[in-house]
Amino acid sequence: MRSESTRANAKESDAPLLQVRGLTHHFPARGGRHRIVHALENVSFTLTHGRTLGLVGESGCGKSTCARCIVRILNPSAGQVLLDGQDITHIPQKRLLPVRRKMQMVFQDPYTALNARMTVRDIVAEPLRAQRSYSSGETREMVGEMLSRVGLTREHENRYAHELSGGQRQRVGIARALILKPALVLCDEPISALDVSIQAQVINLLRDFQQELGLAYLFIAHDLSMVRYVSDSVGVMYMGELVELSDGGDLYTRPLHPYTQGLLESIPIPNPRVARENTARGLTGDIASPIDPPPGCRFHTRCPRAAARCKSEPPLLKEAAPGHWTACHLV
Amino acid sequence: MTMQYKNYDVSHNPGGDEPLLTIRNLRTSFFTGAGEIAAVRGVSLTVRRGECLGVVGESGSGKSVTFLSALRLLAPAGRVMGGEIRFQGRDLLNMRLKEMREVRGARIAMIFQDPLSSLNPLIPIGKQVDEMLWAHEKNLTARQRKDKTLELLTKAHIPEAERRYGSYPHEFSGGMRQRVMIAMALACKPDLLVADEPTTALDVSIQNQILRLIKSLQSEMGMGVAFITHDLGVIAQMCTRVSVLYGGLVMEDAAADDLFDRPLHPYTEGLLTSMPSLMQDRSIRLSPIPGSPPDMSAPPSGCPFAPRCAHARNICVSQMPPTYTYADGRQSRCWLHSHDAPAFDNPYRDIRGTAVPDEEAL
Ligand SMILES: Nc1ncnc2c1ncn2[C@@H]1O[C@H](COP(=O)(O)OP(=O)(O)OP(=O)(O)O)[C@@H](O)[C@H]1O
Ligand SMILES: Nc1ncnc2c1ncn2[C@@H]1O[C@H](COP(=O)(O)OP(=O)(O)OP(=O)(O)O)[C@@H](O)[C@H]1O
Ligand code: SF4
Ligand SMILES: [Mg+2]
Ligand SMILES: [Mg+2]
Repeated sequence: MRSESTRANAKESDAPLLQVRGLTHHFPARGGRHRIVHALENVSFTLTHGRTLGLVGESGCGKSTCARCIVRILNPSAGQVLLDGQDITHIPQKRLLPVRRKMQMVFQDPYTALNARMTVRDIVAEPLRAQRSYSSGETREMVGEMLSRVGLTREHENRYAHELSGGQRQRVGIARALILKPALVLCDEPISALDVSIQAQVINLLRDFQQELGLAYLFIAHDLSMVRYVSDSVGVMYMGELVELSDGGDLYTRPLHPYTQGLLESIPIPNPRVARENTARGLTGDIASPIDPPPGCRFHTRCPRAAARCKSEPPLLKEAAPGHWTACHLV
Repeated sequence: MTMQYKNYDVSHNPGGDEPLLTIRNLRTSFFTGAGEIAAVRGVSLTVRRGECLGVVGESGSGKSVTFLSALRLLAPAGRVMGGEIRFQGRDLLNMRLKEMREVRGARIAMIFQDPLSSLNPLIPIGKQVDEMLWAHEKNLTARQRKDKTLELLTKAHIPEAERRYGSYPHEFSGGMRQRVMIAMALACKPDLLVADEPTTALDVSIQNQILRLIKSLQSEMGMGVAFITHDLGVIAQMCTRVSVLYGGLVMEDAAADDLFDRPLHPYTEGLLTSMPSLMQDRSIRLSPIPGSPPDMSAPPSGCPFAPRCAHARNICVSQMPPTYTYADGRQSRCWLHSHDAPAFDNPYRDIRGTAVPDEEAL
């Protein structure tokens, strides 16, 4: 007994829950057999029990691809995913059920992620039913409780997904992901479809679950204030690569990568007088093609500080300050 | 004195200032297995030429349904129960369907909240934009249409438009699909753009570029924009005026500056305080408005916000508050503006002179 509980404690505190090593994913591209979309390139990070890693970056930079490789909706082209020390990179789909119990995902697009032919109650109950270890009474009760925790009422239970507003659908997706009380939840833009008050409710809810159950989150979002608020560490991606990673709030006060700096400058400020004067700030230029990524640093085509070296030599992710990594030649 | 008067005159542009879009007292319901859902219960708002109206509000408050009603694109279960919608002086609700289609393509464009379900999964995206152009500019040659398509995709920041022309929607990231929608909406140079959460799937830097693009079209072509968003930062950057919806009603209508300076409705105030700032202390819990929105299949007879409102009194629960209008044009639907409201613990009464309640409610 005793040894077991100490083991559990040790597990909670420091053993990594999720280890991602050199994760890479290439999609086949149109127009030629050998052309590929370099969607995710050699991404590595570690997430401990009960912690939150925020992931931000340009639209199309590979955040969803990363999450989808981790939950094995996609099979990574290279690299490894370890969950609780177990290598799950190549487990066959039919043996993924116990893995799903530990790891769930909230999908980015609340419109297509939910089955249109199922009622809200059935959508949320589905993961419970798949595990086959709950009675129908238990299931009903758990579904009801979870829906009320995400701010939906009994009245919504019999509705179909298309009868809900965007934000209501997103909360159904969150309820579904949390109902098994997994150890890890990959949240792909869980709040962008919600109004700010419900965003705050959902964030408080995610934090409560984290404190109660020691959940860990991979939190993908565009709202940098929210990401800062929820995350213990934050990673920034650009064109499939991790370009900056920082434990603690350093990333916001001392961004090292020029892309991160541009991103922070683009944040809209919720004050009309300031916002109007600030419209010229932020990054400009077009994103390069993920089919033919630029040589050297992939950001050099838009970087205001790019030097000759940046155009030929890819920078490596290195620890520039304690707990703060970046991939830029100038740091 | 005269100068001031003149200024006032110019900015108000009397006569030439008939709004582009006027929605008056719109009521829309859905009829489902669970009964009638009163999604929109009397919404009035206007969008002027060259103006960007921000539409914010609780999720499920009827923002999308209001504009889908105006474009007559409601789901089959939805029905407009009452009200009036005028666009460039024409009655949209009673227009023949054929005419409505023309207006929809050529004069009004909408960027939908759900990009994936509004793109056809079986058709390459370039082809979809091309078809959109074909429908509206029949005199273009195939070559011209393709060039124009590529130009539009590039303008909407799709990298390498030429190569991506033949890609299918599922091969695009969430944000890229949204940008395709933007390209399609701008294809026909509309007079009115209804943008329903057009940038939610975009990162802040692309968002910033798209917002600038919409803004430049707005000022170059005098396009009117109705911008539905949850992001108050985006509202601050884009909009001159804001309508705040809750429970299928407009709760507050104000110039953006005024709204951020001092909300006049308890719900708006709740929204503004829910938002974390960039330097929010991580150990402090966020303070959302407690409780949940009303059940629209049995809408409350009183103020829909009453169960969650810190200022609610008996009358709020039993009777619908009228919309009060202040001398400067600001409007707020809340009993606290009534001259019968108590002065004690009431931050909203008499701060801006006397407010006039609308007649409909009297
Ligand atoms: N099925 C697919 N086939 C081909 N390319 C794909 C496919 N899915 C995604 N991609 C490409 O992979 C890249 C990364 O896409 P991903 O969806 O991971 O981006 P993201 O960071 O989640 O972006 P967003 O913030 O817009 O959701 C994009 O260039 C996208 O076009
Ligand atoms: N097809 C439908 N059938 C039944 N009810 C619907 C349908 N579409 C919308 N509704 C209901 O109408 C109400 C208003 O929905 P609407 O989509 O306008 O909300 P919204 O303000 O746009 O919210 P969000 O910010 O979440 O997109 C909601 O309560 C929703 O559940
Ligand atoms: S009418 Fe009453 S309940 Fe509604 S917002 Fe005003 S004070 Fe609150
Ligand atoms: Mg994504
Ligand atoms: Mg909507």
